[in-house]
Amino acid sequence: MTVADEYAVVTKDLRKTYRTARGTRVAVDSLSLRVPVGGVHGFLGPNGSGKTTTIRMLLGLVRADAGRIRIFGHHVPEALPEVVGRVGAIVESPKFLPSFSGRRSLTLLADAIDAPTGRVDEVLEATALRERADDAFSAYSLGMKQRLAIAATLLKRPDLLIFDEPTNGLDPAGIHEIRTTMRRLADEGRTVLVSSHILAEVEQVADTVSIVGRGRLLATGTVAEVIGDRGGAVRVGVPDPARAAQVLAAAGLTVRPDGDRLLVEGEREPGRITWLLAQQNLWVHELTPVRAGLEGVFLELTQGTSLGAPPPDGDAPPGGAAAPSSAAAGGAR
Amino acid sequence: MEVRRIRARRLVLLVVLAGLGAIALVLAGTWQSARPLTDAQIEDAERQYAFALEDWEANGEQMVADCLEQQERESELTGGPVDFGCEQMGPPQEEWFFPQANELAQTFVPLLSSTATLLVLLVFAIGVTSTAAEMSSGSMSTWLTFVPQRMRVLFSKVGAAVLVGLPLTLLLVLVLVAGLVGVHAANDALGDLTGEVWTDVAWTVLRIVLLGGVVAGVGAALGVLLRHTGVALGVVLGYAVVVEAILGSLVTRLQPFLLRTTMTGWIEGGTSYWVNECTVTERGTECMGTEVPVSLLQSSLVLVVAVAVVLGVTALVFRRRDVG
Ligand SMILES: Nc1ncnc2c1ncn2[C@@H]1O[C@H](COP(=O)(O)OP(=O)(O)OP(=O)(O)O)[C@@H](O)[C@H]1O
Ligand SMILES: [Mg+2]
Repeated sequence: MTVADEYAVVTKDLRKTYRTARGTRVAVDSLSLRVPVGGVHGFLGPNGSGKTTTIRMLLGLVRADAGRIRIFGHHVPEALPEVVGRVGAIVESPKFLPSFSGRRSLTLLADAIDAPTGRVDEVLEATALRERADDAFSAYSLGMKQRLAIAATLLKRPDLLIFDEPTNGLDPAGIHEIRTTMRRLADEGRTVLVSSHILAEVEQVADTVSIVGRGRLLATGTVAEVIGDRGGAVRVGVPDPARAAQVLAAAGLTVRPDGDRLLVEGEREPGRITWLLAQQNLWVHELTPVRAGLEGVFLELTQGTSLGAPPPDGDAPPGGAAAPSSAAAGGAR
Repeated sequence: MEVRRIRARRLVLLVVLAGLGAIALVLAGTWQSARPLTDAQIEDAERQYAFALEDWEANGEQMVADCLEQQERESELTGGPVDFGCEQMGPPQEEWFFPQANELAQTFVPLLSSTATLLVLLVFAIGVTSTAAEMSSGSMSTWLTFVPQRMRVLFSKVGAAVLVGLPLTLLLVLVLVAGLVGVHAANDALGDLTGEVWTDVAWTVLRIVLLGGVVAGVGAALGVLLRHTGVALGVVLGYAVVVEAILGSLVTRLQPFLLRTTMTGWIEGGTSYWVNECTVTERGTECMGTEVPVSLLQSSLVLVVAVAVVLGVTALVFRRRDVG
C-alpha cells in the first residue's frame, strides 16, 4: 500500500508565517500530519495553536510558506481542482451571504459543482433544515448555520470532511448531534478531520488524534496510544504522606500532592509502590490507578515546558498498530 | 448562475430605485428649464428690456466715450496698444432678456451625458458590492472550497457584474431618454428632433450602456481587491478628490488622462479641456486659454488601459492572497 492509499491527508514540514503590523508571527511550524483514511481524526490544540491556519492551507485558502501537502495523494494546492470534489470543509464559522436563504446558497454551490438539483433537498433533509430552508441565512440560529454548512459539505458526497471547531457555540444537544453526525460519516467509510480545543467532545468520537501547540505537533496516534504513552497515575493514601513522598521520589517517581493523598506518576506497576512504602513501614490504605484522560495528556502537553517542544520526526509513521505513538516526543530538547 | 447571485441581492433593487429617483430629479430640473415663459416672466423681461433701452438712449454715447477714454489711459500707462472693445458697444438686444426656451434637439446629448455619469456611478456601486459582500461575509471562502480555481472565480464574478451592469444601465438610460422626451414634449420644447439627432442619441446611449457594463466589471474587481463595499467606495471617492480634482487642476498635463475627461470623451464621442498657458512678459503675466480636443479614440484608449490595470492588479493580488 502506498502512503496515498493509507492516508487521506499528509503534510510534511508545513510552515506558515503571518505578517502583522507588529512583525511576523509563526502560526504553523514544520508541521507533519498524517490523517489515516477512514475514521475520525481529532486535531487538537489550544486557541491560537494553528489549527485553522493548517486547515486553510489544506483547502488552498492560505498559501503555505514551506512544506508539502497531499490530499488523497494529490499535491495541494496545485492539484486542488482535481481533489476538491472529494473534500467538504467548514472553516471556522459557517460563511454564507447573509441575505441569501439556505436553499439559495446551497443551490448556487450545487450548480458550481454540477450536482443534481435533487441533491439540495436531500442534504437539507439530512441536516433537518428543510423547514427553514427558505429563511435568510442571517435569520438562522448558530446551530442552524452550522447545519447549513454541513449540508453544503455534503453536496459533494465527500470522502474527506474537514470540520473546524464545529461545535463552537452549540448547546449540548447540538454538540451531541454533530458528534453523531461525524461518527456516522466515519462509519460510512469517509474520513473526518475535526479540529477542536474541547477535548471531551473529540475524545469520545475520535479514532486517532494529533495534538498541536504553538503551531507544532506535540503528539499523534490513536487515542489509546496517546493516552497510554503518558502512563497512568496512581492515587496513594498513606498515614504520613510527607515521608511517603520522600521515599517515592527517592525511588525516581514523580509525586504530587492530591488533597491528603499522593498522585504518583511514572510507575506502571502499582504493586511496587506498595512494596516500596511497606519497606519503610508505611502502610498503604488506598491505591487507585487513575487513568489519564486525553484531557490530562492534552493539558500536560500543551502547557509549560511542552510548549515549543520540537515536533517528533516527521518521517516516523504516526498511529497504526505497527508504529509506536510519537506522543512522548515532548521535552526531547 | 453568478448573475443570479447578484440579482438576488436586495441592494440591487435599492440601487435601481436610487437610479430612478435620480432620473426623476433630473427630469424635474429639466421640466423647470423647458417650461415656456409665464406671462409674468414675459412682462418682467419686457420691462427690463425697455429699461435698458432707455438707459442706452440716454447714456449710450457717454458710455462709449468713457470707455475710449479709459482705453487711452491704459494704453499710455502700459505703453502699448490696448483694446477695450468699445466699438462693440451698442444698444441692448431684445433676446438678451428672454431666456431661450431649452429645446431638446439642442440639449439632448449634454443632458444624457451629465446624468449618465451619476447612473454609471450607481452601476459601479452594484459591481463593487456584488463581490465585496462576498469577501467580507466570507462566503467567498466557502465558494473557493467548491471552486478553487481563483482566476476562474474572479473572472466569472467580473463577467457576471458586466452582464448585470449592461441591461441595468440600458434600463436606466432608456427611462431617462423617455423621460426627457416626455418632459419636453409636454412643454412643447422638443425642437427639431431630426434623424441626425436621434442617431447621435442612439450612439450616446450605446456608449453609456457599454460604459455601465465596464464600470460594473471594474467595480466587481475592486470589490474583490478591497473586500469591503465601504472601503472600495471610499478609495474611489478619495481618488476622485485627490487625483481628479486637486492634482488634475494643478497639473494640466494630467487633464487628458483624468477619468472625468475620459468618461465625458467616451460618452459624448469626444470632448475638450482648457489649458491656460501663462507667459511672463514685461507687462506682467499673460495667460491664454487654449482648448485642446480629446478624441473618442483617445478616451477609449485611456479607458481600456485603466480597466486593464485594475483587472491586472486584482488578478495578481487575488491569485496569491490568503482568504479568510
Ligand atoms: N490573518 C491572520 N493574520 C495574522 N495572524 C494570524 C491570522 N490568522 C491567524 N493568525 C495567528 O496565527 C496563529 C494561529 O491561528 P489559528 O487561527 O490558526 O489558531 P487556531 O488553532 O485555529 O485557534 P482557535 O482554537 O482559537 O481557533 C495565532 O497566533 C493567530 O493570531
Ligand atoms: Mg481556529
